[in-house]
Amino acid sequence: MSDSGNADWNAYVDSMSTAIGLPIAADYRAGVIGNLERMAQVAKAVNSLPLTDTDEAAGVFLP
Amino acid sequence: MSLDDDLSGVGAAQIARSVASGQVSALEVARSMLDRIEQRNPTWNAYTEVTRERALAEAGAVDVARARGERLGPLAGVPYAVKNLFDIVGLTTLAGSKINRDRAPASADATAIQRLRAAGAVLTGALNMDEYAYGFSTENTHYGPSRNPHDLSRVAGGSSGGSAAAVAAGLVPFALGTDTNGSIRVPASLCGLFGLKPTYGRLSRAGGHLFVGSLDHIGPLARTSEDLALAYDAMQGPDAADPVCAQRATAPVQGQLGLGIDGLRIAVADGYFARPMADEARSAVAAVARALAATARIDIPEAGRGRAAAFLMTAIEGSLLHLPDLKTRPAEFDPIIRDRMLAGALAPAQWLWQSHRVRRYVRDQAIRVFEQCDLIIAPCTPMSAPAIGTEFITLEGEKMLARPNLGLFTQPISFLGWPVAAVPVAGVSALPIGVQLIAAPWREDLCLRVAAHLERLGIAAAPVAAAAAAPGQ
Repeated sequence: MSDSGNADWNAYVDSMSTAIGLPIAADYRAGVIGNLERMAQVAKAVNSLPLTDTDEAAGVFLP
Repeated sequence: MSLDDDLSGVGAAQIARSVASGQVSALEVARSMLDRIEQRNPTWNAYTEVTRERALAEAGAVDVARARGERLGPLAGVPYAVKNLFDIVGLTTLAGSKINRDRAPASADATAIQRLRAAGAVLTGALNMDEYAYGFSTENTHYGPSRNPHDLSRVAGGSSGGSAAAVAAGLVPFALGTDTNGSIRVPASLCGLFGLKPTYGRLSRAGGHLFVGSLDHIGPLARTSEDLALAYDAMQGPDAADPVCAQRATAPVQGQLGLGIDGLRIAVADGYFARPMADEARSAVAAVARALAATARIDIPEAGRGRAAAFLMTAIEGSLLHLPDLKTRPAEFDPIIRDRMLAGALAPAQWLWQSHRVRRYVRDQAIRVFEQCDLIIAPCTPMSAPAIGTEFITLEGEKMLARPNLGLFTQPISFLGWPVAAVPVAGVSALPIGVQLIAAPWREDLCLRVAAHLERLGIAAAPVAAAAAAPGQ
């Protein structure tokens, strides 16, 4: 499964912040990118597990 | 017990017995404890609000009930306090934030507080925490850090740091905290207390400010396993107001604390839980394993992957809860969490959804350990309390960020939702350190039974911090 290790987080922050209307001030930008890079590293561990389309999340919603 | 005694070291069970027998009045206990809280709290910065009038009214009601010959609750006249994310009627629920000061006061008490009140407990106030519970150190920029009663230069742990500081300093015999990734167990370990993170869904979280609903639990911190059980039992029961709270009958544990460990298969967690830690953490696990004659070692499958998924769920769900404020008032967030919050709000949806799907897989793998054992001993924090302001720690040569890694060993277990007692281990180091006693879902009774057994053996103990207990301090 692909991971996001080579992502351009600078460009991602620009696109996503526009898409959801969450401006990122210049003072926070480096910290935000650092955190996304750390999350991307962690995401490798969850994405390396091969799941199928029958693997369902463990929800708790009860109608 | 009399008021001539220093009440700071007296436990909840003893106070309740003394009030029930008429040895002291609830009002006398409340006044004595409130005076001490108001005089001494600035040393530890545990409280953000003291509810004096309410406490006196609740204590007075206990005394009136006793005078009428009514049956008193199991916590009659026992002072306690709650992390400031629990709704207290008439007060604004801060959840450690500056932003929430703008909100209207709570119109009702949280379910847990309602149940403790019904049991006769006396609420003395609200306690400091990491902003929105996002941290393990209670170094809150808005309200100042809570200080560890065992060493004022060190953190109390978090995010329920005010809860731990208040109990370890002897300001109250028990307090409520919440635990999403370790926020009861980390401060319990660093302040030398007993703490219970029950099974996910066991105790109602209604009226508590959410951090990450998928992972949030509530629970008590105390200085004895008996007090932990008393508080836990008083809060049990289904609650339609919490969509996660299970429709299960209450399962009181108080009567089981004396059952000992005969017949229990106890093992030490290996694999992920043997990764680098400080000597005191390793010694604590070894001391408890020796006392319980636990020689088997087991691996909790996929614990590391579970921690990774919990990390992503926390970052993304915890941030999106605050998206409106992140858009309009980012400068008012605690700088310690702001960039993490902004990053979490921008993160790809795939990371979150994959984490939720991984959670079920990890649950199905990990639960198999209970075919081999009934109770697991694991480290709680990888070290004793770091100094306030510590950015990095080095464990067995491996340098890492200090704050997130205080929850290294607690995070996989809350992800799994299993019940855990954090137990303070006596005599292994100058500063407190705890271990986790982990059981299968809905078996809080085993966690507390073994905790009580260790207490009787003298292996576990949670005295009021010596500096806090010293006269004239």
